[in-house]
Amino acid sequence: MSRPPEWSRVKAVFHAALEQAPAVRDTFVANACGTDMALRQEVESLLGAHDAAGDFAREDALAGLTTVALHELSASDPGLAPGSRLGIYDIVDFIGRGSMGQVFKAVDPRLGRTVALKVLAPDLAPGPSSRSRFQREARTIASLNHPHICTLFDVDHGGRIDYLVMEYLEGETLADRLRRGPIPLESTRRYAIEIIQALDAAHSQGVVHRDLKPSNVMLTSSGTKLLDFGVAKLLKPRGDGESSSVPSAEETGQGAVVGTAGYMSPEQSRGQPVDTRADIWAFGCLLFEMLTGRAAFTRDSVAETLAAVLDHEPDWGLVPVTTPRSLVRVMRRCLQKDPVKRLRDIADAIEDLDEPELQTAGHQATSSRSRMFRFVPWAIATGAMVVAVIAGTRSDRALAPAVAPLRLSILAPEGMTLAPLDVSGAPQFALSPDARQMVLVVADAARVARLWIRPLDSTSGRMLAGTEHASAPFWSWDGSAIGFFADRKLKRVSVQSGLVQELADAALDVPGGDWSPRGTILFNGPGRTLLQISENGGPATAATEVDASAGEVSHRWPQFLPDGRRFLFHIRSRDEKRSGAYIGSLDTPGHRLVVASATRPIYAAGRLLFERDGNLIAQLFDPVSATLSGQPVALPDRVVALNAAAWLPVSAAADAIAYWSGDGRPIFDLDLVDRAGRVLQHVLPSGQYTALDLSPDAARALITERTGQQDVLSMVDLRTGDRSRVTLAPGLAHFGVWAPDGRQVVFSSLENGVPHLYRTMAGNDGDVPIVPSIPHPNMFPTGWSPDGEWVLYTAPGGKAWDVFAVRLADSHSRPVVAAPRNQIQARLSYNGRWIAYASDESGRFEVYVQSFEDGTGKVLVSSHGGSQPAWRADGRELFYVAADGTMIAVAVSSGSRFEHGTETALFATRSPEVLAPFVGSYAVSADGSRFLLRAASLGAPPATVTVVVNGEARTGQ
Amino acid sequence: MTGHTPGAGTLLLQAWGRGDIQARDDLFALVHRDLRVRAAACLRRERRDHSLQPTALIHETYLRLVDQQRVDWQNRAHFLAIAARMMRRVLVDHARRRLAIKRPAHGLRVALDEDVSLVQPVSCDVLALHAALEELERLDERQAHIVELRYFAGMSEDEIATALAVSRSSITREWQMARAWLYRRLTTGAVGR
Repeated sequence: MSRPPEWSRVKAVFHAALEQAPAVRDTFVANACGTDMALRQEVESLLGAHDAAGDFAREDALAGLTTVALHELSASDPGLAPGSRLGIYDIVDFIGRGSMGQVFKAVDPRLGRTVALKVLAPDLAPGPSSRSRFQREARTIASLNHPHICTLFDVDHGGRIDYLVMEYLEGETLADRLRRGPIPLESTRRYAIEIIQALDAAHSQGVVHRDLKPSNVMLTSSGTKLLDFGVAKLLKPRGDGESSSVPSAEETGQGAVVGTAGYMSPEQSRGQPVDTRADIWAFGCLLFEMLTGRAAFTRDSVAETLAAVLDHEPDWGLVPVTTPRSLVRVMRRCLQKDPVKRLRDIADAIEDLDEPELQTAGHQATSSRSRMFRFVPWAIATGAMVVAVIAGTRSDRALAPAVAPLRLSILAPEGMTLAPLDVSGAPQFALSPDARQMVLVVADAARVARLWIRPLDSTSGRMLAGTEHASAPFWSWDGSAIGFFADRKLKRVSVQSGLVQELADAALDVPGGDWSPRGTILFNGPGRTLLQISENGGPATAATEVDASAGEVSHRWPQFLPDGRRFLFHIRSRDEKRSGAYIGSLDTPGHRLVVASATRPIYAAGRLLFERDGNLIAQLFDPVSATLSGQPVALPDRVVALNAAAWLPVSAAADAIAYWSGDGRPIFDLDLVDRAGRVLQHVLPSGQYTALDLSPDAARALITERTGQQDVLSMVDLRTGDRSRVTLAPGLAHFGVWAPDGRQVVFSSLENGVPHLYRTMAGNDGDVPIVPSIPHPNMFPTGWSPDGEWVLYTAPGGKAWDVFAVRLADSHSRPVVAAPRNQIQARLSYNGRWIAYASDESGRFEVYVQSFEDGTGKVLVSSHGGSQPAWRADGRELFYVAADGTMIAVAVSSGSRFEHGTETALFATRSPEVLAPFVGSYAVSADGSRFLLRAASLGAPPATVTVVVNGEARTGQ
Repeated sequence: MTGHTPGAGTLLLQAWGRGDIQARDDLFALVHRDLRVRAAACLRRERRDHSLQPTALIHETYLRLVDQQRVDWQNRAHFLAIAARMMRRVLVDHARRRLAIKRPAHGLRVALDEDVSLVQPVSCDVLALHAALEELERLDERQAHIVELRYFAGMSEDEIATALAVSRSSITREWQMARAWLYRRLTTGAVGR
């Protein structure tokens, strides 16, 4: 309709209007435009856009893109768009870019053949003086014709662009594949043979690869293909100063070192001349990396990498125990630092690899039962390690064992995590009696735990169906079945058939069991004693009796001794000196202390293993007389367990020991987030936070952090970041809750196994103990009544965790919610009328609300599982964490009855699974607008279980 | 001979100032190469902390390539314009490639650098902005130029004012209008009629 207004006039009026006060702007524009409605409309529209633009384009394009921009820039070259032509080649697609330049998929129209064009970065292209040498060498490389070598067809240059024309391949590189973990033995062997054949063919024509590394090995449907044969020499960066304005030769040369240093032979690293033996070295590196999933020498920096290449041995302990002896021997000969001692001819390697029968030294077919009774080689390894530790202080590894034990790191399968047993984060696992496989508890994305069986000589395992919510697995004596606990039942699953059977009721927390050769299962019962039951089910009968007069609190974690009648187990006692490993018998009542220790004992190969001060201790133990002898010796491996009665994350069988060293222990972020989960403030650096609460005015946070083996309860001022300790009391299991007035805190502490509740007031030093009239073996405070008169806490009740309340005035305590199942995490509404809590009475934790006074009017609030309820201060909303980790807000209408309305999913908490009775994933501000969140830190490494197998028995090296 | 002499850049800038178009292309290549090499060096040096801003990179490159005593403000503006145009191209290419990369991952991947596959979210749609900027260029070249310097080379308004030898307030006004125009273009699609 109307013509667009003239830009210069729009501009003039727009600029002038912006100088006016906002109030008179409209009038000004109207006056300035007069009857030119198009102009007026345009200016008004732009002024509107100006007001709305806000932060638009305030950050420049580079702000969020620094790394990408640098990458793009570093690799960018005059672009070759699809559809364009380079020389005679039609560019089809851009494939990627590497250290040498961009790579394109293209078609050679003469032959209709698809090729790959590698366009060289300008500083790698030959200069005029070196072009003939370049062409000559390229022809030599092009003459290599081998099924496992990517063929170089041609080198060419069009305009200013130099490029290589190569065989086009589909597949992934070995580097890509290795990112997913080590390669199974059979595939490793096949790849290795193909690589050897390719190297042998090239070497016999006098061509050295010079840059063999995982990213230069392509895995295609027709086998491996070595890429860029000899190209490294062809493209030797010019250091001759052909062009004074190009300093890049030197820098790119450095770049080449970065990419390749980890595979470069020691003589190459020293800048010495290179021959076929450099490829042999690199082949050794590839072999190592395929077998272990880890680069033999690559470190964080080039300097460290070169140092490793020149001076350090690869970590042979990483090589899987099942690796054939011959393969290990070849690898060791390839990785001789002195080229003179190195394998001379790559073809020699093939004899060792091509053996039809792969003999592994440790795999004789002995009965697994009899193996257990032999004096297993693992014990020798232990002895050797002991020597090393003792000697280490004097002569620095001079007396290190000749045979290094082999080590494996076991990770959860992709997309899963190792499910922890308790707040220590310790994963749950058990080696099979023959130490060939391991069962682990892994959790999926929905945080459902299942049993996963992983053979030690494979990177893949299998999930056992029907083992949902499993914990604390243990093997049958012959390895054909696994006992475990799920939904507070003792169950067994057949490893072969997958049949799952329920055997008996079991303990309510951190259970454990063992299976005798005679078919008896010992386990933690629902009470605090050990029960025995036939492996075929039937009635469970007491195997031990808790002697309360001796201060005994609980009996747990049994392990049969080889006779199958006597067993070790752990007793937690109020007297710290009496907590430890005990021996009992199915035949006679009573039990006897073997050694005091906080954690469960493990018997393995004539030794007793237990934890002391964070060290794994081994001491000679005679299973017949059940007595210790000799000195307790700390093994060099670190283990992590709670400094309290705890399951020890160690498993031993045959010649192997598996343990968790605390690597990948859960690390949490502590953030203040809004209702959409957006982070408003990082409260503290990531750490091992176990519990938290928010003051009613949301200005201060109460944080429990595990440091070493102690809990530190501190108060953090969210405005200033100041952090001060709330209590100096030593101990564990600190859980603190703010009083409604924001001036007091009540917290729990477990000191020498004895639970305490304290109240501490701001500005008043000293903790005031609260001693509930009902004694408890454990207590965790969860909330206050709004008048500050009562404190709610979780404690073991008759059959499970129950909710109790203690009146502060007189320490009178009473059960509030008691039932056969767990009831935890209770919180009172603002008017003190309703109590919200989580219970697993339906088989999984859900949030319920009922009357605080008389327990009536119980209502199920959560819809898909839930825990950790928390009220908004005005009682109009109830929050909880759904089973899948989503933070949920439920509308609550006030009245004489509790009524709840719509549910809103707020954000994903990334908080770990509920570990009854603990609480502490989040706290909410009084107005429900902000959440203090303890979320799994994304940067934390995944938990791994380390398995050490005596090297001598398995590799014979 | 190692390192740069500021000579090459200076001479090319001066030649370009005299109207030598070939000199501009050569300068473009020179700047590009220098930026490229230095970006790669940055990535190597700062593997854990890519805190170095490309803006700083551009300034350093300028100082390295051009003898300050021998060029006038116009040369400097030309130089920065080149750098900004280059960064724009890099970012736009990157965005285009990311669109194109939605093909299955089984294509040939030859000796790719490990880190290049790393993809980060782009806060503003670079491609849409690039297209809108091309329209603005037809309407008001100067405003588009300011946006380019501001947005793609990360220059401050003060720096742009110095480079273009105009007042700071003039830059601010032009920037405000260009920003409003672009914002409207990108949110409503209206070109302005």
